[in-house]
Amino acid sequence: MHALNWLLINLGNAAQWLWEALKSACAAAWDGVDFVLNPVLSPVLAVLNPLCTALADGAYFVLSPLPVWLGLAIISVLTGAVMLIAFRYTSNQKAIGRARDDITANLLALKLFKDELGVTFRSQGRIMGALLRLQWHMLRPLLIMLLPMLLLLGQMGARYQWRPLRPGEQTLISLRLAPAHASLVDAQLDSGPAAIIEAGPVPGGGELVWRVRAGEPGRHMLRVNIAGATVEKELVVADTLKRVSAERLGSRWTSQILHPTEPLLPAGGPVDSIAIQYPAVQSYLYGANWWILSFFVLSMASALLLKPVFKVRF
Amino acid sequence: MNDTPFPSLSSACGQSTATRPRRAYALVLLPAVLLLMTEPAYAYIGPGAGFAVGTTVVTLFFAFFAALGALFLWPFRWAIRVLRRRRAHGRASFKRVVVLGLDGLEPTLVERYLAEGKLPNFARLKQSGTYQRLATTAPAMTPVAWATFLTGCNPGKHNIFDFLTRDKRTYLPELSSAQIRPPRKTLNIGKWRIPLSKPDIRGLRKGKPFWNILGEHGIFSNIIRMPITFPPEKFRGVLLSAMCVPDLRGSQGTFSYYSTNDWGAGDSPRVEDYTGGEQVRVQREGNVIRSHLVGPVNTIATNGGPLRCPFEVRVTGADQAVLKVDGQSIKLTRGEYTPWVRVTFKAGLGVKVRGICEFLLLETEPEFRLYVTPIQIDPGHPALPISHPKVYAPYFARLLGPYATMGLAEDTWGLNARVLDDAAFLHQCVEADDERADMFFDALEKTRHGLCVCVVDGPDRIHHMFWRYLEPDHPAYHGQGGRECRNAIEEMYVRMDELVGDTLAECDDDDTLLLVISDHGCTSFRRGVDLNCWLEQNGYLRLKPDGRGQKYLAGVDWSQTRAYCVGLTGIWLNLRGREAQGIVDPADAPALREEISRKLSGLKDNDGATAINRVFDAHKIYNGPYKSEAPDLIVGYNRGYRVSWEAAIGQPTDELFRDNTKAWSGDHIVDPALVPGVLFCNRKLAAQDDRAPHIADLAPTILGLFGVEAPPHMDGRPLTVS
Repeated sequence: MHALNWLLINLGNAAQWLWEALKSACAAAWDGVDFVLNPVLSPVLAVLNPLCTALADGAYFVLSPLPVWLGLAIISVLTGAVMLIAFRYTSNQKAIGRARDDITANLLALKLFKDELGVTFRSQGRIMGALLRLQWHMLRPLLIMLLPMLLLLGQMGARYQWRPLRPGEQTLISLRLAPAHASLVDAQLDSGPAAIIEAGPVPGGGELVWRVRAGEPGRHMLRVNIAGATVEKELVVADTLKRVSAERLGSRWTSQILHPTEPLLPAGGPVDSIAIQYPAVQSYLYGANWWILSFFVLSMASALLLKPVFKVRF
Repeated sequence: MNDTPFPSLSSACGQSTATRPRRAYALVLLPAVLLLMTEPAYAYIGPGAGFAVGTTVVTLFFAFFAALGALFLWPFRWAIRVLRRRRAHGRASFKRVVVLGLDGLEPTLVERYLAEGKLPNFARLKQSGTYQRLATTAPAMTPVAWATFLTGCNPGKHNIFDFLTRDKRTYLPELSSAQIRPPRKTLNIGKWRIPLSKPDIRGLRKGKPFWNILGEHGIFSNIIRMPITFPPEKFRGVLLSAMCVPDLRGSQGTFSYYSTNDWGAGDSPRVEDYTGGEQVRVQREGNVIRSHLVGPVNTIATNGGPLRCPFEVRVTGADQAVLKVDGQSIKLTRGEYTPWVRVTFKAGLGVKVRGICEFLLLETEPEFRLYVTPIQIDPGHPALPISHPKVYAPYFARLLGPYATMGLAEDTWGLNARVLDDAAFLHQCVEADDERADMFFDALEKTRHGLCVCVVDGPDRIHHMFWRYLEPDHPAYHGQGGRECRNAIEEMYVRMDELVGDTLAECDDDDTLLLVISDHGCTSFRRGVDLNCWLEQNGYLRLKPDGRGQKYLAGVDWSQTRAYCVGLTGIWLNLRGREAQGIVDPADAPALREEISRKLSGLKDNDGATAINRVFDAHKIYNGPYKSEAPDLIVGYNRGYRVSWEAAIGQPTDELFRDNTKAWSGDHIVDPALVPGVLFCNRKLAAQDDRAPHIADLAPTILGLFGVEAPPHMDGRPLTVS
């Protein structure tokens, strides 16, 4: 028993070490990728994001008379159809079909020849091989569709993840300082009619935090004066669901994808990011973290239903 | 943050600045990195990729548990077999028996090519094992002989005597092996007729295949394209049906020929050559030709005619065109077949019937001509049951792609009608054989224990259609055809030898017994004998005043007719109580059979050559419950003779002998002693009483090899294997 415990503990430790090593390796690999991609993608996104935001604003203006869930459903179904067509023309349909057929044939072989253990194991191996081939053939359409899909998800996230503050509602505004200015404790927040400042700034952990109460409805611009610089952040006060940006960040293209509706903070300034604690949207159909599930299910269902119409294999 | 008086911003917002970069990784990197994500929502990057990942997981799940299940259940399944005393494998002489059937392989040609050293693999089999001629059935026909092979019985017990039989009420010819009738119960709603039951598909072959008996003893069988197995029966094993599987229209093969000129005009085929196909006259509008494929009858519409699938051909050059059909765009090149094209016929109410066919562009200028093979049942979505279990046909479709499913996959009618040339027909034969070989080798790989049988049809079809090249004085020999056509038969034997070589490599172990057999041989078909003409000349058949030349016996005066011919093998008496308008008293039938047999035996051609060697009385050569269903007399023709094309379809003429000028120039429906099959084995094999082995002996032999006693009703006797 002692030996078994020792074995299990050491196996667990080894697995954890491997997991951490894998994560570290991925992080290191990512840093390399990021180093290469950032100078290329950041300017591209700087151009694309305002365009996408304008397009999305237009689309949501058209959908605004409809219930929120219906708008989400329409977007999901249309996205499913468009991505399906894009998939058809960017993938090697013949090779995907071949891999799919191999998988099906070998699954059927498992059923047809179940008394032949050799067939069972050979079919297993062939299924694995066909699955690898299938993943390989998915790579090209996946990479091609990656950017438009991320842009779309960013825009949808800005509309379904958080809701605007209601007038009189309390929240926190947090300003993360750049490492070179981490010791700063003094900053002035000019909230205008958007909010009433109730407390702050409170320094700590490299951040300055204000507690505010939402003011007049509208799309407002907060201004923070710090170390001779002025940093702006949008604040939305409304009773209905509108596009909001929970955080404005700087320096990385990944931030541009996650928070596409506001421009990046200027590089080299005293502020690393500025965030507003918007309340999460409460709905099991389109609320925070649920909208992505609805989108996933509906776009997949529409793709599945339209698959025979467009004669697509995946 | 903990030292502030405020709650954590990041946790409230569902995000952490510390994890921000990690989420970004997940946005970009592929599945391996997805594992590291803290928020999987953003991993979704479209339906295609979503399904890819989803189905991969599901597939892995099923595959893993299927394997685990098989592994776990295997000992139990084995134990159950033991408990049921079905340890036939324990008493078996071999773990596996493989039968490769080469339909129609002719012993005289085999022996000639063996002597010339052209068949090294057959020679190896002969040297290390057995080669003998294999006696066949009377009549020596594919459906009859293979039915005897699989039941071990004479035709009187399996009820197959010909491709065709006749309807006793109408005298019309009909298929002898299967009947397909629409569903019995339907619900009529407006213009729709909803079927409430399945179509009635009935096999007419009787008797139990020996692999059913093996299955009862726990032995698995894998049967590929064995004739006369449609509709497929349930048994312990897998089976893909062959001969008598219809095309999508329910016929035994109807090709389509689209042309801008009339049949018979210019160089196009003559109208009198038409059989087994149809011409559709099309109009050219600029460079575009529009028409439709004809499918099965729409059974769910009350006024339903044949279903149609429109297509369009756009001529793009002298020898090029683009075909658009069923949402597909396919390039056509003159003289080249397309791959199998899947086509869908929509019946309404969401019902679709799927088929496959190949297109062959024959000409673009000055006339447009396009050939389409008979539209066959799509093996991926079979409209009729063509395999056991049902998924076996789709299994091959997934594994190998679409393949010919029709019983007679090669379009002999297309060549007979000269819509196809020799090379185009040969292509079909080679393609069908290649498909068959792929299936066979998959079956060999999958079946390490039990029985594995595959029949290859190419030899039979090539003999039939290219025999004229062996005899320059054959009436059908016109000197045409390229080298590959002139040598088609010899090259077919070489291909079969290579197939045997590959099979030997797969069976190169002490636990496998390999049999390579043919059901019958082949000989020349130079002259057709119009038996109805002979019967008329000898007073047994009387025609109506305008009856001559009418097909399907429509011109026969039944009130004065005692015997008639329809089908390929023999003569029926117009028996009272059996035929609807019968006049022959059953008590007189034996004498009448004897009389006709005596007169017809030794029939001479105009030049004095013997046309008919002997005539068999079916009631004497058959035994079993179905012998009364046989033609009363089976005609044993001499080499070079066969029933005429006209007599086969019940069309009396005034010419007793007629030259056969069709491409179908070889045949085997002659005296069975003239066309035995072949029997090769990788072991020494002999009949116990030194008689020649018979095709009926193989079923009891194989049962014996697996330690299973042959049932007493079998007519064959086991061969001795050493």
